[in-house]
Amino acid sequence: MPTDHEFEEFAAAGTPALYRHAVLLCGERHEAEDLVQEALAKVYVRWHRRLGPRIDNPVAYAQTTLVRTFISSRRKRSSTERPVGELPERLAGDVGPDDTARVDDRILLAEALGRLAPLDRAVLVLRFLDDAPVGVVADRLGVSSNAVRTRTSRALDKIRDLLDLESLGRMRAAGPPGVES
Amino acid sequence: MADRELGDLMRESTADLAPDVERLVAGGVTRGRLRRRRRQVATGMAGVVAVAVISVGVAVAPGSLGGSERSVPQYADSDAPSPSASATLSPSPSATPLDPRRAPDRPIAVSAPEIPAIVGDIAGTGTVGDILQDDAFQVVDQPQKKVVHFLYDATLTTVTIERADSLASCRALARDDEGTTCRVVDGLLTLTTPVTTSDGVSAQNVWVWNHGWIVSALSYNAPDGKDVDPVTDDPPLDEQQLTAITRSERWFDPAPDL
Repeated sequence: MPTDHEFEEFAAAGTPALYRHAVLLCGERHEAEDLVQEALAKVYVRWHRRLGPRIDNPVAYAQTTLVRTFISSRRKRSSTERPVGELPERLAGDVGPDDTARVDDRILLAEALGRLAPLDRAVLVLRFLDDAPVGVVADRLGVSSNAVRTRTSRALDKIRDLLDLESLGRMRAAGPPGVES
Repeated sequence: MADRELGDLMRESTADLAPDVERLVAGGVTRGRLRRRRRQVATGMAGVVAVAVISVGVAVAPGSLGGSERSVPQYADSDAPSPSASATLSPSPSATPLDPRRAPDRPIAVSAPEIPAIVGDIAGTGTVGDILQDDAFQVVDQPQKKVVHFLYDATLTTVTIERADSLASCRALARDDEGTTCRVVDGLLTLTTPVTTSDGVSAQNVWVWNHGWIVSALSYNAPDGKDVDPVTDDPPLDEQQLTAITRSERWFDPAPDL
């Protein structure tokens, strides 16, 4: 019988990664926190279900839950959202003053991702934050592999236009540890 | 832009994010617990099967659960938060409640095993029975968290006391569960679920934000939330009694002398 303690241990270990996904998906940390908690709540219910098999891969299950919850929430909100010409600064509250470049990159990335459709955004986050294969992304989003490829290509084209490649290159030129160019 | 560049940007730009893991997990657990309770009553899929509810009808005297005394025990956890010198410890009925997710301003005054007897005192009717303790019903008796499941008039009753500053807000919890209401009642944020019935098992739940804690009381009309025969028509603790229980000051140490 799974216990709260086991769940809390799992959730504590997985929350930082879920939060990173949520921040990239939502572009705003408070909404990201809400998304993480919502996903954890759904996993909690599944975790404690007495009937049916246990979750084979809780990490993947939680990530799938988070992404699908995000997409679902965007569908519900789509009728009330209004486009804005200038996106507000976001996410800067997460870091200290010495991380200006990182904050700039994060804001830039959040703005660009925020201009993509939610499903396209999810595709890119899963594909490139995790280096997940197309098939895995397809499974997690509940779409076909072809749909993932198509959306990846389309989203990359769009985000290429939105992102300042020189600013991206700045970071790479600094040589982050363990990252090959 | 190369694929790798985008991946690197994503990883690098989020590498320093430091979420409050404890708070997020606690919030997720709270929301999950609420969803699970609702499903235990409202669906036929994931009911909690009674494993060791062998004491139905074997109600015992309330005093035997929390020691021989029925008065509020003189108990306070040593590492519970110290009372603060807040000047507004007792908001008037019309007052806007204090920040409901603030840190506790008083320690919890009771241990988990002492809770059922106090519930019996406050409710004033019914018979307090055994504390349930097995894989499905675990007693939590930590300084910052109390959870106890017990029989009241031979029905499942659960009381929980948890820090409010680490859990989801009243509004968020109400949003998670259609039918619940989040409102200010006599100065305290109160989350109330309607009596929900499925397969003859009914339940009602009231949560109150008080002194930086959330006190929750849940009453079923059966010895378990699902797959058991109800023993009463309605949950024996009605909304008024659940509200009185969750609003009680008996869970907390007295206000410090100012």
